[in-house]
Amino acid sequence: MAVAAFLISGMSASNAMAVSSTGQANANVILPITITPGDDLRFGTGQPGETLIILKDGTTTNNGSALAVSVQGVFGRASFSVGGETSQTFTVTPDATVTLGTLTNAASLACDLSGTVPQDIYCGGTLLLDPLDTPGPHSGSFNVSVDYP
Amino acid sequence: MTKVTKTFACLLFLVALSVINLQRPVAVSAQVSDSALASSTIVTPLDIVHVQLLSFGSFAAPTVSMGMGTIEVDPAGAGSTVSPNVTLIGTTGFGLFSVEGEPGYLYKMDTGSATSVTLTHSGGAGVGTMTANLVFFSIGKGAVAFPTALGNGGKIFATGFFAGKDELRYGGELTIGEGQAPGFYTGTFPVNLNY
Repeated sequence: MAVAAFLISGMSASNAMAVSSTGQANANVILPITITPGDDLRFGTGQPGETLIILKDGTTTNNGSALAVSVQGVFGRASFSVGGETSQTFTVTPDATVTLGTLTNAASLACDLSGTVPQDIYCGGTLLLDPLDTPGPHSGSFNVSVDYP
Repeated sequence: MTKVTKTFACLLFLVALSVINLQRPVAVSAQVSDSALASSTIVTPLDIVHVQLLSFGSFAAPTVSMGMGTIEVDPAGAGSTVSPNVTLIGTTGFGLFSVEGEPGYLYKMDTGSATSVTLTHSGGAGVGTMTANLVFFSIGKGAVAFPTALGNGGKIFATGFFAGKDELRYGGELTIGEGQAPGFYTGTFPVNLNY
């Protein structure tokens, strides 16, 4: 009788010991970041030997240098619209320079390097015109990449 | 004839006395055994509490033609591993159960028939699912790692308790599709424990 009681209690204990719970996994996929080009970077008009400077704020300056001049003609900064997950910060990786056609010197670029979606970012640049550069229009292209940090 | 009969009756009596004499000590020791039996069968009931969920964080999915992406969360707490085509924002975190039971006992854990957890789109525009395999880790007996993938029909066998408590952690590898629809994804899976 005692043995029987032990077996019964043992079986009951085993069944009563099972417990269960639920695990959970979450993930959040955010909107992909996008960049759309707007205005081109325009250095305006200059003469051989001059340095043309376009600032990110869209203005021009001689930057205190006798070789730098206030840009003439139509000039302006480049602009890009960045979209994606609202309020998400992003970083900007622009090319360092851009070559304009047959011009001897590449123009250095100065761009916004971070922002918060949605936001427009801007690039200015500095272009030293070589005395031997050929007169006429010159153009080139450069890349700007954006990414979430 | 009668005499023989009496003798037999006397023998029976003696035998009966012997049985009684033999039974008395057994009866006394049986009481002692009963006490020992009671203490050995009273086992601390298993208890499991879900403390925190497994988070794969916020991320930008691979765009089309970038291939499938992955985020792997280490249940041992070593952080996460993210494929280059996924941009992880913020942090990830392993899931955690607090388990209590009888010190020194082993317990068995299974996830039913599940070998993975399916995360279903539950917020924002779009539809879709993602799947994550499950990897468990117990600190019940130090750093005892579980198999990296569930086998045996989704069942794995866990380690024991240390001082009656165990921390059962879970992580896994999430597979993310190209152009995975933005939004919040969530999924659940069962966990069963037994001695």
